[in-house]
Amino acid sequence: MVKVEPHDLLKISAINYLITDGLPQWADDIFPDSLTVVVRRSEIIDGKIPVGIRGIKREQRFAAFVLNSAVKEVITPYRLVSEKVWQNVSDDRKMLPAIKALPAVAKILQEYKWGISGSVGFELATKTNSAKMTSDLDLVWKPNSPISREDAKNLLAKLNQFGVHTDLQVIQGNNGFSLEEYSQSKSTIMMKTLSDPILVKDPWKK
Amino acid sequence: MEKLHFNFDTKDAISKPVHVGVVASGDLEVIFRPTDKETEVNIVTGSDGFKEVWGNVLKRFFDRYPIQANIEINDFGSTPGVVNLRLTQALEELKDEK
Repeated sequence: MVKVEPHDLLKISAINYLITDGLPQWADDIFPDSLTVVVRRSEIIDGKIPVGIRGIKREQRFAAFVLNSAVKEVITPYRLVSEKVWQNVSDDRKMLPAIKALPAVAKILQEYKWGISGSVGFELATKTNSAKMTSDLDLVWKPNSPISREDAKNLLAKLNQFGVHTDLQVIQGNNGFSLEEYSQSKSTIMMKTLSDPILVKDPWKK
Repeated sequence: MEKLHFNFDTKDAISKPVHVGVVASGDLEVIFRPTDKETEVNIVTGSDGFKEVWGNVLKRFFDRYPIQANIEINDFGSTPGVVNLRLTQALEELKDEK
């Protein structure tokens, strides 16, 4: 049994391992290039892992499931960092702001457990072109202890000085919240959970 | 990228502007501003083709909370669940500092 978390990328052997009532045309066309799905933040039911298929456009997202036994390889966002996968990217892809920023971002976050998600993570893991000139840099982060709003603001200011908007999601078990929202919050913030998102006052409270 | 526009005939005036949400994938920014004109919702969304879904989510919201406001939404591929939560959060902020 492989253990998976939201944002993990799963490689499967063939398109027919996807559990779905049918795929949209774009997914049929593009999925065989990567054979990689993203674990969605939702419950695993009867061994079926909730996953998403990524297309090229933002609205091209499609929900499906895969069985644990169908997973050939798990690539976590954290592994992309520990292996410094961005070093292997071609020179023209390194021109994309979200990819270009990675060496500097890695220096800032070197003491932490962090990973790369979103289109950049998908591109690094699958070697398919999925990031764009306008892509944000989506990161996941597992801090050892809570940080203050002030420290959150300072960290984001450091991360955002490379011409790309960094979206850092703080991961707590299966839940996640936006560090940016926390840094600006006066009352409640949104916590994404395996079921519906909820509003919380203190996102660090377990 | 798509721009959507909706009007609603609601009359509970709000007293101050509120701003909730963030610019992030799967999320949205929601801004409520007081107005003495017709309630207006202007949406800029990165996900095309969801006008009907937006219309349904907004209608349910205004049926329950008939506030009169000028509303601006910047959407980055959020789900209806997240949209509802952000609208609810904006309402709570309105109540908070009354």
